[in-house]
Amino acid sequence: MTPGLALGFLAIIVVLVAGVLITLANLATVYRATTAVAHTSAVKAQLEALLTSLIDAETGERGFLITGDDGYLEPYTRGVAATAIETARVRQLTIDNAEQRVDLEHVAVATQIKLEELAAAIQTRREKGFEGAQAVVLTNVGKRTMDGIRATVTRMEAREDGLLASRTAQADRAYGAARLTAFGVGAVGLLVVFALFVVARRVGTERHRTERERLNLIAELEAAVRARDDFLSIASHELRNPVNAVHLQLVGIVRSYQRATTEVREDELRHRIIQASAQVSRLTRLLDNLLDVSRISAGSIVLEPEELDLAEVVSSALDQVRGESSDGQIRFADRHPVIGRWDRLRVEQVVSNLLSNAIKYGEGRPIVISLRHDDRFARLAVTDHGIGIAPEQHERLFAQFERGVSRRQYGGFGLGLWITRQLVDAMGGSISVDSRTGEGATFSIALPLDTAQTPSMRTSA
Amino acid sequence: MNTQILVVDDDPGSRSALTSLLRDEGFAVVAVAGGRQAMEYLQSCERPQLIVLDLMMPGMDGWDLRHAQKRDPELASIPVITVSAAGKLLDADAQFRKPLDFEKFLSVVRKYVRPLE
Repeated sequence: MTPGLALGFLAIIVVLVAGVLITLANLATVYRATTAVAHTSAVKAQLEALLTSLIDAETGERGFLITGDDGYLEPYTRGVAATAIETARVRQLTIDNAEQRVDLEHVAVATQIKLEELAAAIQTRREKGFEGAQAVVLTNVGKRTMDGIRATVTRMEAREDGLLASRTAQADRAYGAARLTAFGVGAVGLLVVFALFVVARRVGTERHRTERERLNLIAELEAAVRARDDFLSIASHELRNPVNAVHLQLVGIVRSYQRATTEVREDELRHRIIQASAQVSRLTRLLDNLLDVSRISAGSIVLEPEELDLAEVVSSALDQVRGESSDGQIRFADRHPVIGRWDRLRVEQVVSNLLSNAIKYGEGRPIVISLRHDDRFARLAVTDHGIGIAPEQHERLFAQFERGVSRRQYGGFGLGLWITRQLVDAMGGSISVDSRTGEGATFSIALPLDTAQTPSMRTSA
Repeated sequence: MNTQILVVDDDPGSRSALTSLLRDEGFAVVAVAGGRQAMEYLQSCERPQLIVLDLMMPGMDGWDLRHAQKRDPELASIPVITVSAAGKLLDADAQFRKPLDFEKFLSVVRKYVRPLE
């Protein structure tokens, strides 16, 4: 993984974890607020219940004081029993609130005083009758105590309400924060995901490009290895024909001498030697072509122009290849001098390559060489009437290891025209082909009359 | 003189050298430069006793010629010896590689053809 991607993933993890923690904290606050509502309600209900019990007790006492009938004491008995339980419950609920606890103790003490006052009044009623009890009530101790309890309970309820209000406000803030956090985390998460997407896509594109380049390189290398293997196998096959011809001519010469019965015929010997020599020239040309491939590829061919007659060079090239053709097959029409400055060996090589091709693909039919010139260029054309080349193959003809026909049918390195083009280019000239399948071919070259003005060999690679 | 051996090879150097060697050995030889000429010769002239065949040739190559020869009942039985720089003809009666070992080649040729002289 690239550093950018790793950083992106780290960022999204940090954002998510932080978002989750903040949201959890806020949720806890909101949850605490909802429990606080219930708590407040419970405290207030218990306080109300405590007051009710006290009122019940007082109501029972009053009934008894007026009537002296014990049946009226039932609410009193119930109220007294309940006050203890309800006081304990309120104490339990407010155990974590110091202020409420202090007030509750006041309420508890006052309740005790109130209950004692009620008990005293009842006792007095029993012992001294209505008048005595009325005197106890008229002391107003009970009423003041009850007013004090009501005031304290009201304060406690107000405190609980205040507490609830502050907790609700806190919950509101927590909810707001939680919402903000959720939006924030969502937005940042989306941003990071988008950034990751962009980075990943760029990385993917880059990787894709690198992979494609790698595959292209492999394909090129494989093609190069295949071309080299093809070349080596073609080379070994192609050299066999001239070697075979030389070998058979030599076998013929040896056998002529071995035959004791017949006289060795001078003309036959000469013929065989000339034939063998022509094949050796052909071999030499093949080997030169092989060598030229590496020279051209290395850009190490240097032209050495000198003044010469191109017609004479063409004749000399013609002599080189005559052994490969049949008698009278090649005609050099309108021979006249074309003087210019060229590298003799290279021009001869170009011409003999074109002639060799014409012989090879000419199906034994006539081959015509024409040579003309204008102010600037010498123009040489070699025309055969052989198998021809389809127009769509023309450009391929001049590539390395290419030929216009299948290898099974025609041997050859597939280098002749490539080398020819490289040499013609180096001399500042041009080469073209005019041909159709089955209609023969004309290869034309134009060479500037003075190649000294052109730069030396260019590299092909 | 009846033709005994038909030499088929597109390479002029090899073709002429082999032809003259076989003639020196007393065989009646006709040489042609390709499969098409060979077929024309086989169908229009008297059939030879042996075909010496190169494989990689322009136009109709050695494999094509063998195929055509076997489809013609008049010609199918003529033995074929290949002399080629590359390639193999699976049903050839004998196969030689260029450069040709002429002594060995001659001994095989003599199995099929007796020299005139």
